[in-house]
Amino acid sequence: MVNPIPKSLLFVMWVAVALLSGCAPVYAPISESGSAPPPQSSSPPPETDRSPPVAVPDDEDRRITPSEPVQVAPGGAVSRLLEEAWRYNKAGDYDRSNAVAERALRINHTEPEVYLVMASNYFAMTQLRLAEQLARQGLPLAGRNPAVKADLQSLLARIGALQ
Amino acid sequence: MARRRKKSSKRVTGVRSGRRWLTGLLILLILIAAVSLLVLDAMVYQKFSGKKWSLASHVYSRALELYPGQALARTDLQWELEKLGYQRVSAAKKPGQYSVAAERIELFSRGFEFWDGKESARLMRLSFAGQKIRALSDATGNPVDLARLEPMVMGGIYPAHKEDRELVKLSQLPPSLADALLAVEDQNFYDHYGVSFRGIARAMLANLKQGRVAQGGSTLTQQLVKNFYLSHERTLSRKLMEVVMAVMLEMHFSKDEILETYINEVYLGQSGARAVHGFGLASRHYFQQSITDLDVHQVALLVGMVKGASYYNPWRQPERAMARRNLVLGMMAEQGLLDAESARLAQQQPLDVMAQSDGGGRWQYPAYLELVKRQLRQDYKESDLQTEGLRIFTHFDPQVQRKLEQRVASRIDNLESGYRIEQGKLQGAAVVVRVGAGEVIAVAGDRQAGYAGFNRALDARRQIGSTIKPAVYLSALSQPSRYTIASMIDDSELSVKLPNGDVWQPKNYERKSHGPVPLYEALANSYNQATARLGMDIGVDRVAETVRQLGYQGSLPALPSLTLGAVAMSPLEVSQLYHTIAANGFYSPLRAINSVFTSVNVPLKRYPFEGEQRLDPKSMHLLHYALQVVLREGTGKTAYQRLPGDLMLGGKTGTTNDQRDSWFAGFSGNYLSVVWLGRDDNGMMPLTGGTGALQLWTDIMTTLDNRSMVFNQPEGVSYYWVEPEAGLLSREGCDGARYLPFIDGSQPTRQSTCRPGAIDGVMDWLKDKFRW
Repeated sequence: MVNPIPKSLLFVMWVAVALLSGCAPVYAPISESGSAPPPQSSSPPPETDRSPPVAVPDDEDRRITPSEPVQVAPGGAVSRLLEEAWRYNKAGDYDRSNAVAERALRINHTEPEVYLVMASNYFAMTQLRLAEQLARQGLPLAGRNPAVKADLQSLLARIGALQ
Repeated sequence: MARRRKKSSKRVTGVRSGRRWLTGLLILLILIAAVSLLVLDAMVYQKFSGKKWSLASHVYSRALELYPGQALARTDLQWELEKLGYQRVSAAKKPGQYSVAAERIELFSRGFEFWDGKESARLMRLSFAGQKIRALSDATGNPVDLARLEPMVMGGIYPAHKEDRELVKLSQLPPSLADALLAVEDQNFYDHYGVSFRGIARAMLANLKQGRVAQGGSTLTQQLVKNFYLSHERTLSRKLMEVVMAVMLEMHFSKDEILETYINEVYLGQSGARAVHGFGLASRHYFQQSITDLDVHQVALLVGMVKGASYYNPWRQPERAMARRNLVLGMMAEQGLLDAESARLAQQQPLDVMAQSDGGGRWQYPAYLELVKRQLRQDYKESDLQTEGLRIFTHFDPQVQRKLEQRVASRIDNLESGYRIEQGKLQGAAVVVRVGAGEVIAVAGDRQAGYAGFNRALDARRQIGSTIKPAVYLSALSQPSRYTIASMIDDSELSVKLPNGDVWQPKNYERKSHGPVPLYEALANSYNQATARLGMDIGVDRVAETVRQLGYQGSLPALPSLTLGAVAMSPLEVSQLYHTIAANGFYSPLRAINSVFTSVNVPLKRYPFEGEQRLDPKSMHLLHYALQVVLREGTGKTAYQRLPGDLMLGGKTGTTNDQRDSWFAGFSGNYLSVVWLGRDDNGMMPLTGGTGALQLWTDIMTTLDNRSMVFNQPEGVSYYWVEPEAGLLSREGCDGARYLPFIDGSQPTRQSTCRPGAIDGVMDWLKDKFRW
């Protein structure tokens, strides 16, 4: 059984806590002095500049934190193109495979497998520098795809062994 | 007597000698004629059997990809279909047609041979939800993952004589075309040997009856000879030559070869300085349709125009053109090529020519076309580009270009009126690039869409001002032992003595110093004094090296003012720098061209994507953080008044001395756009990067389907709560604390005494205890 705290002490603590935690922001707002000054003419600024600002997100929302790129859902356009690119890769038609992979790249350039298939094509064509660069480009995007990450690392190791 | 005999003998000898001379002369003339005929015959043969024409190269846009989830409004797809010349019908039944019902489009694509394979013509059904494709299915209702439309011809590179044509083969043509042409121009084409004496007699009779030249007796072969080999002068000698050459042509070549050449040679109109030759191009010019897709009434119009393309111009003389078309349809019915009912129905059709002679999109995009030409000249001779009929496939996106041009024009008008800038003085340029792929997809080189003069996006080299600052900060962040994103930079005034004795004293834009400021804040607020001090500390050479690593290939002044952007670049060059930043330090040369094919569709060259890691991903991550702060809190923050708050964007404003140039360069996950505004006379403006170029940049970005920039945490980078001003590790909730990325080992080591966690603990305990 815990002894009850006297109400007067509770009030003092509450005031102290409120003062301590207060309304201090997480970080001080940055001065706007670097932003553009108002127009030098007496005319109003352009219409869109006068539009009321949207609600400013709170500090917590404005925190800039890293995030992994969204992975492509299977069965979509990119997946179909990747299947096609691998098919041409296996048939030894590397130029065509790259052309198909580039279509996938245009739709989603954060899909690491696109870089894997292109790197594999250049590797097969013994264009090792291009293969290496593409594998390196894909690697940071493969955070949520361990299989592709492993393939990219393996490819880089093979390229390294040949150089 | 003897004298008479002698005289007589002399006369005989003279006569004999004269005859001999005459015979000799005759033989000589016959020989000359024979040699001339042989030479002529060789010439006729050579020109006809060799390359017949100097073919213009045609430049194509990207092919529009269609897939579920793609950001494409129904109205945008309709716009593209109209530009491609698709006919809107109640139910699409053949290639080149589409129908619209509520939020659905049914279209019959035309099919196209791409580098990576053939896309067959097929019926597709698309349904839309808002600004996206919701579903895509085939004729039987089966879902389709991906399809694409044929690309649009967006320009051309022409021979000096400005003749343009799209070669077609006889086998590709609708059968009605050749039949109608022969019915009208030369009914006995397959029976004569190049010249029809019956035709000449008939024409002479008709002309005599009417007392004027009302009818020509030339066969189709003669017409071809006249157009292909001879001038248009009307002399007897030219006519004789025409007859001889027509016979020669018939001796060497088949009727079908002659007919096919005629169909590709005949003059059928004018588009500005460009002459439209052949039925293939005429079909595109008047109907914006492939010749294979034409209906009989359209075929009849083109056939009718052979008699006089200008006289029967359907835009200028629609009634005359209609009468001529209906006459052709009547002749086709008379000769059994059409039944009477079909002819009657065809005669009731409108002319069906497109709204105006704009080529359906051709020649409207000179700014982008100029970029294509420049990149082509690195690999091809100008003469080849003008004569070899190359088919050049580019990354040009007409949808993005259209919206870019609209936004450039309206924003510049708006700024001029809003800031009382003399009307017409403000100019602008903008480039849009697909991030990652490095593909330039749209270019505006002037405030006026379609302007073919000075291309500011490529050629206006203007000081880039603060737009260069990311290179300065990146140079610093690449030295984690010296600088972190939280390093305090002194923003007090500074003076630098230059080698020539001058003193350089950069000032902040608002003429105010800020004392020590965290590095990311100095970039976000574009403090000149802090940046100059930082740049001087790491070295101007180092900054210049970073600018080169980002992709700039020009010369850079080894002066302190380089750190504040005292270097002139074009918007395209700035796009190259920022693309390397947007692509996480991977340099890819910006490309306008995808691939080049020969005139007969043989792949010639591809311009593949390639990247080269030039900058460390860890320091790039820190820079990406700071460039996001620019848009969240710094000089670019007004962008978020019109862009979604959860969209992660990076960018930087740029304003040069006396506000002569207003820049903004920024990117999302999939698009980079660089905007420049200024005056051609380099005059002052009441605009900064933030009030001018940023506003246009935001306009442009609101039209694009942006994804958040890639901002994944690389290995070797960790985030910490720090108090930059104190240089201490801190905790969430502490006064002045901020969550910042550090290259491992460079984070502060000393801990702040702030303990917000303790207060939170007491609060939690109190809440729990008293159930608040």
